[in-house]
Amino acid sequence: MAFNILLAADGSNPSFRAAEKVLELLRMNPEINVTVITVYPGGEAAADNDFSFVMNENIKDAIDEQLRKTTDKYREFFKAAGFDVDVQHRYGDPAERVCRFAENRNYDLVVVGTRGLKGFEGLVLGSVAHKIIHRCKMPVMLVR
Amino acid sequence: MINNVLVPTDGSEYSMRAAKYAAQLAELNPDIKVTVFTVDSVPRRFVERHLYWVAADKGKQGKNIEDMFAEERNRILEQTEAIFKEKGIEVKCDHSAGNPAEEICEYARTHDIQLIIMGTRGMSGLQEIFMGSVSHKVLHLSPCPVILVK
Repeated sequence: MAFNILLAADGSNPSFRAAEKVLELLRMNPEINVTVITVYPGGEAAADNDFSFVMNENIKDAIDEQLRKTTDKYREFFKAAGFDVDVQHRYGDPAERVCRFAENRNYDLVVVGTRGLKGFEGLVLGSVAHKIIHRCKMPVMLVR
Repeated sequence: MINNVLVPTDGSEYSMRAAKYAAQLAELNPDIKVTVFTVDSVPRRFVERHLYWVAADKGKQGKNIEDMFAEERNRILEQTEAIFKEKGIEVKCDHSAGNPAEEICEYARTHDIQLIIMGTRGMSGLQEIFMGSVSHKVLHLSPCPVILVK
């Protein structure tokens, strides 16, 4: 049975803890397909609106380079454990992009890390994690 | 390794959906052990003080308050367990009493649970609130990752 996991990754420590959980699942069933998605916040908005001149080729290349560097860390993390993962790059609102990608391709699980800072009322979820939990129609795993 | 998975249930349609998802996940590896868990959230003291006449009436049928709680709890657990049985998955059933979110997290802490799978809403089913208060609180107090099923 195919089971597809989408890992929302931004290079932060919580997202590597999320990657560790995905690896645990992968070890339990090597048939699981994993996609790592990294979103550059706001890039697409700049490209789409009247300020598109700001998104000149150099900047775009720099952003793509940055995205590649980030996702390579995850690719290597899984590679070191003997697993190949698919990698995706997007521009735009991170939560929005992750949810749309997961829903369009019917992922079975979206995994996201959260900072887990302690506030007055206990844990404060990261804003991206919070938004993903609220808007994503697919099951979401939250990793602290 | 994710061996022990906790599936809290209140018998709601959201819990059933979470249970179906947990069954799907359990099929990925036979080592995954599922515990179906429910919390008696109606305080006994309230029932004893304010619903004593119901209890007295049921008493005529030979049921005490404890039996009534057990009946409701077993109904919820059996209903949830049935979803796993359909797929031939054996689960453990357990229960507790008190604040649902606190009990769920305490159970997870004391029973070496590595993953909680639950619905976003439960019995209250308030459509206008996207996430129920129980799942919200579990997300904040949980000692392990939580999967929320919509």
